[in-house]
Amino acid sequence: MKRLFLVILLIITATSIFALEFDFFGYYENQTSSTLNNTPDFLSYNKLRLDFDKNISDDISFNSNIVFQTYHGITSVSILDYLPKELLTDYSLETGIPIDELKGNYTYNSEDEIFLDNAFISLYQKHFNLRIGKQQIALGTGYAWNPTDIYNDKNILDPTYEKRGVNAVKFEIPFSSEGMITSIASIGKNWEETTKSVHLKQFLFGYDLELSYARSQHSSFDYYAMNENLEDRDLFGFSFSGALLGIGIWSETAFNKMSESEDYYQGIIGADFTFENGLYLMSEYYYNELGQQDENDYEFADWMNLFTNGTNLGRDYFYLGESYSLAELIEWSNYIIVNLNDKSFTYTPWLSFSLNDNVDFDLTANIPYGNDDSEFSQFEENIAVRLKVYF
Amino acid sequence: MMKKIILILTMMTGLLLAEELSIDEIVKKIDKAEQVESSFSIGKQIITTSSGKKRTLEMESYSKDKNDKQLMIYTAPVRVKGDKILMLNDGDDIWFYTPKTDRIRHLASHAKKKKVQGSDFSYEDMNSGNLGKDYNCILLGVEKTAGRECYKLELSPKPSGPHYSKLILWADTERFITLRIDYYEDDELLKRLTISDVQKISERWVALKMVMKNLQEGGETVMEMSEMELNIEIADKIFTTNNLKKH
Repeated sequence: MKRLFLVILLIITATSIFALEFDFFGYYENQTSSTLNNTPDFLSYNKLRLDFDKNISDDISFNSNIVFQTYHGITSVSILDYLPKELLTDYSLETGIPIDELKGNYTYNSEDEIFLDNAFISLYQKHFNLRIGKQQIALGTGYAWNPTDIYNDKNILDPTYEKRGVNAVKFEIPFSSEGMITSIASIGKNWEETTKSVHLKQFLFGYDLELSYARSQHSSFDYYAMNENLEDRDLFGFSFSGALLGIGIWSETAFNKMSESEDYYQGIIGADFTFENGLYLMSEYYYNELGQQDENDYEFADWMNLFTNGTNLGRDYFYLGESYSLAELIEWSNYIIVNLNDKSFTYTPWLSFSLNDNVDFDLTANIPYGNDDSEFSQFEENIAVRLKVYF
Repeated sequence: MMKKIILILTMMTGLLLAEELSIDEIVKKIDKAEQVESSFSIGKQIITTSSGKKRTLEMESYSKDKNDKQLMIYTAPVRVKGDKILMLNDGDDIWFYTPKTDRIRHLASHAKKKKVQGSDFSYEDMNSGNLGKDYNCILLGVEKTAGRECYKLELSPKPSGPHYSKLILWADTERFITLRIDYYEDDELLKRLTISDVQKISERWVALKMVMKNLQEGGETVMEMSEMELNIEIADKIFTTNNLKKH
């Protein structure tokens, strides 16, 4: 019944859009993954994204997209299944809640969904640009981590995947041909809960430079008292990207001043290079003062933060990537992410095929390694195929 | 016999005319012929792989200030629609924007040798460039190519030039339009660009078709312009990074 409703809604929407002479396009994506153990579990999703754009005039445009997504296979998992067993037992004893009940409480269900991912109006004037609505916001120069981006969580296993739209107002004032002041506000219930930031960007001496300041409410959850704590966070950031002696370099640093808990610093520095034969190498180092230096200090809340919003457990990370064109239209990439503190890592080979002008096919895997209580050892070995058709 | 004498005389006249110009003058004339005040074009790139598979990309291109500023906007297929390449300062600074992530990336110099959208053109090949600024040039002689008398030049890139070890360029002795370029790396011929369909637009000779053959991998990319306008009014602001995110 739900699927029938989806189809009818889709037809009505598409018909209405055509009638309004929107520019209509989008893509269909299927990803199917399987764990690599004796009894493999499958998870598959179908994603249909429909984009509707319209240039209302030279200076005003409207852009939007709707996403329809269905999930199949093992769509219900308990986050606690991925925690070290000893930690889970301790947590169960301390809270007095049996493990099975806890697992039920922390079950994550991948439910079919329809959502408006982006819908925004852009106004371009001589002295300013204004964008209002649900929109993608991309901040920072980092590849795998973006410490200055307070609007998005990032999946380090697929860092270039499109970001979900953020309900925001973005106001830009260009002050030179390559300079811009940008202010962003992501609307909350009130001014206190509204995430806001100001960014000063300038291209200078071959480098893209950016200074940023952001204020947001930082949420942390006490899993023993079972209550949420909100506090103010002031982020002072700086990022740059450019080249030195022919090598691409970038950096992004963020100092977070907290109103109640301890202040912390996060930063990345990265470099990349393309060799004469087309081999591309990149690396990134991430310093995360929020993380622990010793794996024995990983707490229940740290693991929960990892699985709910991708906050890494350790303090020092190294990301190494390689990409090479195996043949025309076939790209072979390999990535390795190392937690330098607990010595665990995950290796991700990625094979991309261009099957047609508008059809891409990806084959990827995730192979983690580490001690029992280490960060990446909790990830499951899996393999995934992704097919994407643009229209 | 008479025909042979006429042919020899014609060739000798060509050589004598060619020798009248110094290498600096030839380079200046080529740069002058290929650098227009501003231009707008609509075209497509047809990429053919060594196995015969084809990919077609459509694009709009803008240039200003004698190619000092260039902007390419991909319009099809949907996979690359809205992707933009901005080149400033004679191609020294290149930015790539994709609406998929709404991100603008400044390309480091090493990235300029990467293929653009899987074609046989690299970012630095796409830059129209400036012979006088980017190369040390030697005149090798006069040679016929594509049925036209051409100056044959050897170009050794300066530090500001592309990463190739040398280029051999053939430019029309009459129109000073480049008709062929061979790209070398360590004396190995990598790619060959042949230029054809030269037409007169707004009193200037312009090439509307370019074929880049990848002699190592076997593929080729054909770039064809279906529409071209020269010396038109183009606002400076479109050649700014600030403008790249404009839909």
